[in-house]
Amino acid sequence: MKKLINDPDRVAAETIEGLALAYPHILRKLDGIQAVARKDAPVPGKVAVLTGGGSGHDPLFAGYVGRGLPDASVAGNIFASPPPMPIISAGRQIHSGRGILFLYGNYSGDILNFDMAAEELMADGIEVVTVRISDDVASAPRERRQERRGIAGDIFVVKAAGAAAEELLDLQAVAAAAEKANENTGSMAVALTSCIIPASGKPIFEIPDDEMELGMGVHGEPGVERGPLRPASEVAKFLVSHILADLKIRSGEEVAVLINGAGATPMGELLIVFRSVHGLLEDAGIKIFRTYVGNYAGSLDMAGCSVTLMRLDADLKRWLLAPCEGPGLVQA
Amino acid sequence: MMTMDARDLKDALALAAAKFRQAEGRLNELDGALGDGDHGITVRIGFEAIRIAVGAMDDSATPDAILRAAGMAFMGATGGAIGVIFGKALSAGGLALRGTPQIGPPEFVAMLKSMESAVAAAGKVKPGDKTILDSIHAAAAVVPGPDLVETMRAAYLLAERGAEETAGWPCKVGRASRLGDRAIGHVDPGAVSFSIFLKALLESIETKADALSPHHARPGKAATRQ
Repeated sequence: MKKLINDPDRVAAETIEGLALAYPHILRKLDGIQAVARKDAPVPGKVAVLTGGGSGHDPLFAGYVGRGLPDASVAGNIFASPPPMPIISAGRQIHSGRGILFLYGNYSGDILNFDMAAEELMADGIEVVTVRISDDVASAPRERRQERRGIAGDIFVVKAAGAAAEELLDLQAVAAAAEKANENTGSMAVALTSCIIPASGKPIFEIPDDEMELGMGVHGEPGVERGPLRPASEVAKFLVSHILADLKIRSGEEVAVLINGAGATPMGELLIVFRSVHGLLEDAGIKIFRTYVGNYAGSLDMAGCSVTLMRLDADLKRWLLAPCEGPGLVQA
Repeated sequence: MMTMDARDLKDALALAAAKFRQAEGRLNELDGALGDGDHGITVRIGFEAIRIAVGAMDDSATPDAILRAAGMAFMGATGGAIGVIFGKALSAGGLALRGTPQIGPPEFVAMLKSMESAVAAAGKVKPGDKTILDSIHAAAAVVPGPDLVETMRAAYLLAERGAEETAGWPCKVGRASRLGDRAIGHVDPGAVSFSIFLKALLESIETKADALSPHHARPGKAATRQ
């Protein structure tokens, strides 16, 4: 293992500390917990959006905290949900009286910990509504959508929720915005290599040099197909056709596109993938409204990428384009 | 008649922290076959937090308060599904010991049963799902005998067998459930951890029992005394 770290047990903590030190004009670290909040939280009159999850997915989730984005993010250790106590503490510190939306990826560890925190906050009289992000079309069939995991589509969902909260909508409406974004978002990934958790120093799974795995999850969860490495155009075709079929996106509809790097794949390769995605959508008569290409939700040092499509209507377009300022996403 | 008091419980938890330090690499390897290979790190960190939290409690702390504090410390230091589940198991074990300054065989078994129901409820799991519940469920079936050390030994052996049996099954819940039959042949690391926990409690109290009374010494040790 070759990593620029100090102490394997403190990777998550030092990441959050570094983030807060790098972006003091956007966010602040919350005392005594592994969490950041937007600098001016609690924001009067606004529903608070609280996100978070395991570390190792930078810039997700802590990088999407700021104006027009979630108000706080609580970070667990690498690939492990944060415990309830820091979630409760962060919730109390960002709550302005209009309730809190809990928004996180659909994983059993996160559900256990965030649910415990939600119970505690509600016992204090704070209203909490939860939306779990489940965009990975490879992780379960459509009829078992409640079992699907959240991957890079998280970005579109937190963007929509953050923008809706900034419009000073009430808690139910902000949750509905997140649900709407989630329901219209589908993603699928391809992994070319494994990744190394710093504290164990070992790859989390094995994959031969000349193979790839389609549909793999962001923590190495098995995908839908493992086989020889194929050209970017064929991979793009596989991913796009699965997402289009799942979301039933038809000719004439508009989408936002995210080509997300898993951590070790260069920007150039992501652009090569997007080039093919662009052609495929054009051929299908689907209009691209806005494109994001880059490292938005990583899996440590894994190589690979994911394609995310979000079907758009007027609301989702407005929330997507709304200004925001977070370390991982700035829009004027 | 040997029982376990608050002091003994603190010592046992400190021994468990040491045992989990030793087992870290092995538990990581077991987890590597089913998950992301960090279970050993997680329980090592959790039990180190327990050792510190419980070590700072004063002598008036009762066994139930100690176990509940241990549960909170584990949950707070670790996170993930295992943080809530192992944490709730310890706290629930504490609840079963309320008003009990001395833990004898019936109290020990009541503690295990309370842990079992808490884990089943928190994790929404049942025996056979290939989780930590499988070793807790096996241990909680122990019949309390007249002797605490023997009851604890029997519970530990049942937990160990319960953990070994998980190798025969696919994972039913959590991220590893997607592995399907690829999980068969691998034991659940959480179930192994619970058996390590019971082994540490047993060894800690066994050492004290041996020191207190020659009747508790095993045949080999008795022979050396003659």
